[in-house]
Parts: sequence; C-alpha cells; structure tokens
Amino acid sequence: MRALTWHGKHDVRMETVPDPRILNPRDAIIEVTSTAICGSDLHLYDGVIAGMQAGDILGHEFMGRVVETGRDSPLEKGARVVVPFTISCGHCYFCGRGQFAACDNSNPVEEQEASERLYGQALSGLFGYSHLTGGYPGGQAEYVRVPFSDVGPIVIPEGLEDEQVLFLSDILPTGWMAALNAGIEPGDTVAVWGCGPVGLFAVQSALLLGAGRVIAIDSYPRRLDLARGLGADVLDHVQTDVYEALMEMTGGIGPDAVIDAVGMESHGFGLGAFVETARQKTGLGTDRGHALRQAIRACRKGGRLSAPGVYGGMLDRFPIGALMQKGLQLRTGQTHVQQYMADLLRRIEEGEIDTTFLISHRLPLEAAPEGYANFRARPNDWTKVVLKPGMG
Amino acid sequence: MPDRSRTPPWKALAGLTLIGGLFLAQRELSRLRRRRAFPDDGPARARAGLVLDRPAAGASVRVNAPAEGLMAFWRDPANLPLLAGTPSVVTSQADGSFVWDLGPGGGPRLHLRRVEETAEGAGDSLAWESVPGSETTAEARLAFRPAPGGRGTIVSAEVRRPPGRAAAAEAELRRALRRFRMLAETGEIALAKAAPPLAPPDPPAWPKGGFASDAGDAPRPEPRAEAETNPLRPRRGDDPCAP
Repeated sequence: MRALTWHGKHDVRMETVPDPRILNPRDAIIEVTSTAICGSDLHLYDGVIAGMQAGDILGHEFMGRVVETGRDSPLEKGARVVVPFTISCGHCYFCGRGQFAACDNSNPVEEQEASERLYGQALSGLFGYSHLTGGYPGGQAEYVRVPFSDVGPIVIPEGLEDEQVLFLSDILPTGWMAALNAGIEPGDTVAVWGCGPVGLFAVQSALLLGAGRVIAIDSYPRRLDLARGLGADVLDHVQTDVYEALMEMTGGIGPDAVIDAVGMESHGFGLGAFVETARQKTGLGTDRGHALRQAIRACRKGGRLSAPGVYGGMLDRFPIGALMQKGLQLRTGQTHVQQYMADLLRRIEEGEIDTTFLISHRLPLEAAPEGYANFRARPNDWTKVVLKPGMG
Repeated sequence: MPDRSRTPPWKALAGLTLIGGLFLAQRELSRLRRRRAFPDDGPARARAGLVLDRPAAGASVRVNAPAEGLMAFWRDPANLPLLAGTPSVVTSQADGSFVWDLGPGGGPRLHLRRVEETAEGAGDSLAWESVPGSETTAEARLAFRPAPGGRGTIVSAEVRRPPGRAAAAEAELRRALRRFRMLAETGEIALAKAAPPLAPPDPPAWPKGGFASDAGDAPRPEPRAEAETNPLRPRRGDDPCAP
C-alpha cells in the first residue's frame, strides 16, 4: 500500500510499504477514505517530538471502511467508521473511568520504558505519533490496522459526508475537552491562545457551553477571521499587547478561564522567546512556553487554565508562583476521545456543530508531503488539510 | 629550584577524593542508622543509597481483576512462557515438576517444581524452585494482594537467579507482569507490529465480572459478552485473524 512515512526533520515521503494485517483478535483493518494533517503532526515534522524512527507511518486523524476484522471485533465489513487517535483497551483502570488516553494496555510492553523514564508512567498507545506512544503505524495511508476495534471506532450513519465527521477522530473532541477542562460557567469570559483547528474548535465549544464572551488570540488574519466568524472577539498578538488588552476587556479582572491551544512551539517576540527558540532548535531545550506563560499571567485569580496544546519535555521559567498565588486550576492531557465521540456525533447530526468551516485544502494522499510543507510554511492560508487516498 | 609551596595536582585530587568518599560514607552511615532507628514502610527493593543486602529481583503490577482467577492462571505451568517474553516450551514431568526450555539463545533449560508454601499468607502466593540437576537455578514467587479500595489485585513477583542475571531479571519481570496485565484485562497482548506468539495457553475458567471491580462513573463502551471479555480467550492453535 501507499503511505506517508517520516524520515527526519521536514522529510516526509510517500512510499510503498507492506499492507497491515490482523495481529490480535480485536483488531480491524480500515481502508482509509479521508485523513487529515493535524497541527500536532507538525511537531513531528519539525523534529521536536522524541521517539520517532525513520519509516514510521504518520497520521492520527482518519476514517474509512472496515475491510477485515479479527475474531473478536464487533465491526462489520463495509461499515464506515471514524477512528479515535487514542488507542484504548476499554477494560483497564483508566478506561473504566473514561480516561481513555491514559489506557494502561495499549502501548506495547517493549515501547513503554522510554515514556516511563521521561514521565514516570508509560503513555498509552496513539496512532502515528512516535514510539513513546507505541510506534503504531498511522492513518495517512491507504490502510490502517486498528487495535481494540470494539472500543475505538464509531460507526457513521450514511448521509453524513466524510468531512462532516472526520474531525471526530481528534481535533473536535480535543477542542471540546479543552472547553470542558476550562470549567466554563454561563457568562464566563474565556481567552483562547491559538486559532489553529483545536483552538477554533475550543472557541466553538466554549460558546456552546455557555461562555458569555470568547477572546481568540493569534497572528494570522485568516485564522482570526474564522474565530470571529464563530462569534469570538479577536486579538492579533503582533499588533496588540495581549495582557494589557485582556485586562482592559475584562475590567482589570482577567479572563475567567484561559485555554492554551498552542503548545510547545509557541511564538514570542522578547529576548526570552528568542533564547527559548534557539535552545529548542539546537536540541538544548524541548518546549517553548510563551503562550502558556501569558495565559497564566492573564488569567483571573481563582480562574481555570486548560492546556490542550501539546508539550513534550521540560519548560523553563514556568510561572508556578502565579499559578499558586492566584489559586489557578490547571487541567490538561491527551483527549479521551472515546468519551466524547457519540455526543459530538449527535450534535453534528442535529446541525449544532459544523466542522467543515476550517478546511482550506483537499489533496490526494500522494500530495501529503506538499500538504505538510505548506501547512508549516503558510499557516495563514493553509488552516486544515484533508487528504484523500485515490483522489484524482 | 622547584617551588615547594604549590601543592602537586595529584595530591589535590587525592584530597578531594578523600573528602568526597568521607562525605558519601557519612551519608550511607546516616541512612543505615535511620533505617535501624525508624524503619519505614517502603518496600525493601526501593531502598535508597548503597544496599548490600539487596533482595531478589522483583516487580509489581496492579491488575483490574480479583486474585482468584489470576492465581489460577499461574498454577498452570503452560503459562510460564509469558514470563520469558519469547516463545518457549514447558514440558510437564511425571513427578509433577516441569522443564522450561527457553529455546535457542534463551539460556540453559530450567527444571522447576511448584513449592507448597506453609508460611503465613502463603494462600495468596505461588512459588517455584529449581530441582537438583537443573541446568540452571532459579526461585520465583508471585504474591497476590487486594488493592486498596477494591481496585483489583496487586501482583508482585520476585525471582532469584544466578549472580549477574539480577538486573536483567528485574527488567524482564516488569515486562512480563505488564504482558500478564494486558492478557488478564483485555484478552490480548498489545502489538504495534507482528511478533512471534508467546504460545498463549488453554485457559482455566475466568471469574465472571473480573473487570468490573473499579469501574467509575464515566461513560464506557458497550460491554462485551462474557465470552468476549474472557482475557484468556486466545487459545493455542486459534487464529486471531479468523473472522
């Protein structure tokens, strides 16, 4: 089959690789009909996530039709499914609590020790996202093997287009969980750093959950326009001092909740941001935290910080004093996708949520390397790339 | 004429080494005194600093299931290959002992027998030891304790191997227990790529509802039928690829 493989920083290639096959009783094989490039794929593309190996198949947002099932898979051949990017067994302590992204049994034993050394406990398995999370082949391919197919994939009713439901695999539930983690109460003012796909869905979700005002922060006009289209006020951090603006807009109190949808490659303009970028690019540091620091500083006393943005390692100058002294609550983590899929699918079916507004480009799977290069280099225009195997 | 007022570098280095050594020795002595005066509840394997009487290699895992079925699994010698992590063969002998052949590259053959423990708490543990004449020696013990709050069972393994194998044994044990947890909780061992099967055994009966011991309030996937949730479902000769 054809698949997009990782070979190093800014080096991804379409290659012919062996077809996947059933390895365990609960597996299924999916023929991919649509897949997408995620903002977090760019962290892999930029080489800032540990544990990648040459030849790894990328992609964790995908959907398709079931073409093969293991003995214990309940899926029927031909069923159309969206697959969560988190691989979860459904029976461990964590899955039993709905913490599917913390599953204890989906990361192969041989791969667990690296993340255990880094983080204290082994991470769960994810599709196409480094060997820290299992080294599972991803979905930017013609076919994917899906372990625990009785827990993850959700069957999509006919009548819904791929693009209406594809983002159930990651970014829609990630934006939704980010808003839930912000503990939004009716009338709250919520500030969202980053108007990439997750940030935009966080804006949409915050408004759905009753926020009185959402303030979206980015520097790309098209992305800010999309946020404005959802009903947010917008701040361009190039032309406006974000902290001063937020204080002014909230009467000196600060936002009730702040959401960092930027993560480890945030931009800043001061000397500290320059040093942090240099350290990351030379391998002397791992994460850049400009947006996170700004969010903590701006958040009101007793407010809530939700951080769906991806961080991988260590962060210097983390404002633990502000976090403690202001009594902020912090919630973060990979998304427990399976917990939210059914509810979000219902909201899509009922027309409450539209997910297609952020798609800027549709490309054949074979053009995936071009999609990555442009998504990285032209973020103003390339807001979301959907890849279609077999597209002419 | 040489300048005798300057200290030669080797003397300075020796002095620093001596000071460092004394500091470390004083710290270890202080730890030892503290341990004697006020022994805490930490497991012996987790002792900090220099430990001369380090116990056998060991590891623990919490399994979301009651102890009864977990112990039944390990009473069957055919399940021992799960500990090795590589395909291997266990052959039962007429006297109740069994020979574990780790295969090419796996080391010498191990001739083991189950030991009936009589000490307090033995009812919650299983033990094995090598018999005289075995090509190598080993002692192993698995203990099963209920986790606090009814959250499954803490399974602890201890293995004594010949000197030089202890570090490897600990890492192997940790992996083995995690494979066991996967099999017990999910019925399969997670794989990201094809790997030789570990010869999953014919299963003993599995306790019904073994997985429900600590289910929270969060939404869960639709429960599977009992037959499907049997963690020992993979049977020798079964083809997981068969629909």
